[in-house]
Amino acid sequence: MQINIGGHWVEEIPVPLGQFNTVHMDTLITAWLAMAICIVTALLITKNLNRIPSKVQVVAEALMKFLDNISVSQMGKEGIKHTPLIGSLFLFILAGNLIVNLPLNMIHLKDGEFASPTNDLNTTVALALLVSIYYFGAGIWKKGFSYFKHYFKPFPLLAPLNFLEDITRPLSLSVRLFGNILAGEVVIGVLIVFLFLFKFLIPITSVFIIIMVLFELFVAVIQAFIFSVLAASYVAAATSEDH
Amino acid sequence: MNPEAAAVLAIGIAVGLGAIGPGIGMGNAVAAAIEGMVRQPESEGSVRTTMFIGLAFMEALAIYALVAALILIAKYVFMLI
Repeated sequence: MQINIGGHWVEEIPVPLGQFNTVHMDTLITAWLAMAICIVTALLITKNLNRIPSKVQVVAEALMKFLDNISVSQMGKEGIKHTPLIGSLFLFILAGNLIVNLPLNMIHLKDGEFASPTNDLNTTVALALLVSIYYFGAGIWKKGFSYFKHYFKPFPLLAPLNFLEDITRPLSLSVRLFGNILAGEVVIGVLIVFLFLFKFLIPITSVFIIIMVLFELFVAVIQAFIFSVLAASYVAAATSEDH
Repeated sequence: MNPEAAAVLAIGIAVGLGAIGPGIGMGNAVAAAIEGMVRQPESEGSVRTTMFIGLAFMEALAIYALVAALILIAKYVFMLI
């Protein structure tokens, strides 16, 4: 038995100047699958909306209220216009985290296997940089060029630390999501190896595997929630007046 | 001691020691949050959200140790597992 951490199905795509870009195909496919799940579910739910809501519509409205509440709780009333990004991030990360529970790894690949798209650092760094660019844009949109004044508050000596904050925010945002999801998958993988190595421990190990899988379902929701709440709080910090 | 053995030892020490601080911190934070919720049940929602954000920042410390361990795995012990 062996487990292979960080193995991916790598394809090379030629770019101009005679160079190659490497693409992780398994991450790409599962990310598109997560997007497709989000979009198709949204289209199916909103196809026939009614004044008197059906059961599905009640659930969808409660979810929408929850997504609105994430940004409103951080930014006040005007936060509702940031819901499209914050809510999409939540839904995409949630779908991506939960996709590992589909039996996709029965399809054998050249290298690696289908798992969450968020267990690849490329995906999470892309999401975190998206948030980074968004809060810069939101701050400049709201305050104009005077947005950059906040680096020199409360006094100019702190400017390097304030610059550093813009680097550590996407770093911790991306590494937190990546580490949590990958660690959960590795722990379950190691427990499955134990299942084959120590035959006399099978009852205990299988109970632990069930507990860990349930815990990972919880972690998937919590991490999606934390990512979107932190994104909302960064946007709130960039657009708030009282700096 | 060859580099692979040293790397395996370092991975164990890094993750083990890196989990102590966040463990203590998260315990304190959850204890304080529960105390706050019990004293003022009407503020339960906002206390819970703030607690989760704080827990995320503490958890990031343990995750950094995990990432350091993953880097060591990728560099030295990829073939041994």
